[in-house]
Amino acid sequence: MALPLDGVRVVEMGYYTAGPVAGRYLRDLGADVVRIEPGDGDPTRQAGGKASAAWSFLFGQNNAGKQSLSLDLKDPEGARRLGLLLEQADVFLCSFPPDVMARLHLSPDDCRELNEELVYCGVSGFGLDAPVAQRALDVTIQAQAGMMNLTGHDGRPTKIGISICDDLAAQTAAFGILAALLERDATGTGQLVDVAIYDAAVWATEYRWPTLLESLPFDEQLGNTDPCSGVEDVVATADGRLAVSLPWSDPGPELSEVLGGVTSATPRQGLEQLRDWASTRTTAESVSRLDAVGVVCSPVNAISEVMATAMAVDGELLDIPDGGMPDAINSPLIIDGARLRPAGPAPELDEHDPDLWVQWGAHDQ
Amino acid sequence: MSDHEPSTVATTTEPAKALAAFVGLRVVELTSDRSAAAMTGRMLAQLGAECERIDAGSAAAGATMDDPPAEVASGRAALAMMYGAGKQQRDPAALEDLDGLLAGADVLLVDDAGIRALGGREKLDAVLSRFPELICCPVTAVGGHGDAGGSRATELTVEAAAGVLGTTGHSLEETVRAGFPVGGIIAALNAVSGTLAALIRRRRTGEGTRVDTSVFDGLFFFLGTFMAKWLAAGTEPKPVGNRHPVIGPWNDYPTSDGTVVVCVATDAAWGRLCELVGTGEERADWPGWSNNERVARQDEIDSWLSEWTRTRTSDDVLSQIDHLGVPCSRLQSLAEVLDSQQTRARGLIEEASNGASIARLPFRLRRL
Repeated sequence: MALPLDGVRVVEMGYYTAGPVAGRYLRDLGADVVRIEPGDGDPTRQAGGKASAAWSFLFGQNNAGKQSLSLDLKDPEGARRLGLLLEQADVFLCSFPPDVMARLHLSPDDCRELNEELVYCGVSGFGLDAPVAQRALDVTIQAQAGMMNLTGHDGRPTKIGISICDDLAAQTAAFGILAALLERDATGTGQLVDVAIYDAAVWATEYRWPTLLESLPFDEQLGNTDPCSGVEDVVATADGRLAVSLPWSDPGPELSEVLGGVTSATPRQGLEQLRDWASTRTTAESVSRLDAVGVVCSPVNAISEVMATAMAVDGELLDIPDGGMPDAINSPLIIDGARLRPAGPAPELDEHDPDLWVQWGAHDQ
Repeated sequence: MSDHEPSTVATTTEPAKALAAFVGLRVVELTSDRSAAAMTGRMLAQLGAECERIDAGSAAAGATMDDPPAEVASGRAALAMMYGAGKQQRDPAALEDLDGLLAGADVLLVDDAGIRALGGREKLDAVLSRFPELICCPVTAVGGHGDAGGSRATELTVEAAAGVLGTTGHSLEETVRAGFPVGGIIAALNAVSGTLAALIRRRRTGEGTRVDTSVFDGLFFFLGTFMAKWLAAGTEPKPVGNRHPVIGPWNDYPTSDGTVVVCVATDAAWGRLCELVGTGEERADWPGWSNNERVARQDEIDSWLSEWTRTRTSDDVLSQIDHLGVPCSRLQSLAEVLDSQQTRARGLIEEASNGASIARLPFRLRRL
């Protein structure tokens, strides 16, 4: 199948999540993505649980289908060779801090000299023009951008378990690069995409801004409720927990029947009665009986349960080889009815030297 | 209810200018008012596209009508203004001439309610067969997974199903959802990227594309760090609150005027922290502790460090710890964030043409 980004060339420099996951999105959509690594490789290759003898699952997930070249950018010859690639590239995606890129003579201005039609995307903690190179991690941005104070049970700000700030920055970078490619084609000029992890995190909290915080409890932890949704909460069952959403309407005779003929005057009363009812039943029975009468609910799944659920496996989100482990999670996008899958596993370090130079028309070996 | 002081946040910037590539691009949106697809449409409108929206909630036959309390209705109205910013609202009667509505459209966005308003997935497929150049993006709750077909799911239940709720919190018994609709915004970003990629392809081939995505799929894609542990060791990842599962010390700590987050990732940084805070004779061996020892004894370390932070202001603590090269930050309320120098400097809030204060697109774009 012809993919949307067939023929688009991306050079990527960066470790861990924010930059590489943006590159993964572009690769799954069909772009050629070559990552530049130092001689001893991206440290993410060994970060976290191992997926194979060669690299961690995190590295495999973030870099599936890409190509790898090893270049020493502090050496003039390595820098010159990277320049040859950038001359042929559509996109330069980098997630090292701006001051590091400047020291390597890879600032946006430096790169414009190499390729006036380049889309340059810099991913950083606080923006390419940030006055101070402040250190940032996913959790420090979650705290600083207000996410942690919005999440949790009363009085206990809580980090979101997944690396949400890095993930959002990755998505934002892919989004910005795609908009920039369209704008480059419309105007004939190169584009600069400035992605700050802080900006992406603040952007994500917008749902809690209404009237900029002058009404409702928008600026505090609300547990498992939502100020603008229905009557929601997580209730304990005899063997687990269940997330339940009731509308702000009459609970109705069907729910009353499930609850044993108890009539609820309000949705909130209905939720409390449901809490008592579920405490003596298994999660599976609760889901089955509530689902049958149209109550929106789901078990609170642990990772093993998510993996085991038919939604994950039968839904093509993971391809698990016989007796093995998956290399990566498949893309969340389906194009013309076909799930996007990585073009292959993550690359070995420097796996594509020298073929890539020929492939890209950067003949300089 | 909240006991926070009413915020004075009002600093908005002018909306960014429309990008040349999006001028004249016509988007038709059939969505409920706070869905991921509605946010996708708003982002396209912020890029410069002309977005026409039909409220699928009122257009769908047999739609459940909620009757929320006044404060919830008021919040929903504010969100509807925000999600609807930059869009032209169309009368649902326009659906009676669907082909006329879609003539000349470049993109069709639908959510679960939109699919129902069209009469189901088969009807949607039939529509698309008549518009081969159209880019169609259904953004649903759970896609094709499960027999509910996405018609009966909410942000809360999808976060629960996809493992995000079960991995967030301080204990297994008290796991908690994200404080904002994280699944919806992840899906919206996936949808907008898929749509833009399809526009790039259409420039090359002239062909339309169908781009499907869902809230569940978007969340599942980001479970990698937890999945790695389960795949590699077969152990069930547990929520660890604000700590890191394998690196420490790493947590939030009280100060005399707030809370800070401190993350010590290396032996060298740990040594410097010990020197700053002071370990004394009774803790003489602490500076030599390995990461594994620190993780195993994080309760003790947290007590020791909290004792030191509690008597100092957040500014003082952050200044001294940042000086060590240790990542740290203030735990800020949303009011503080929106009013902060960083948010103002980056121009993250814009005033839409309908008067709503909304988030500017999360990236900056300018000529290289």
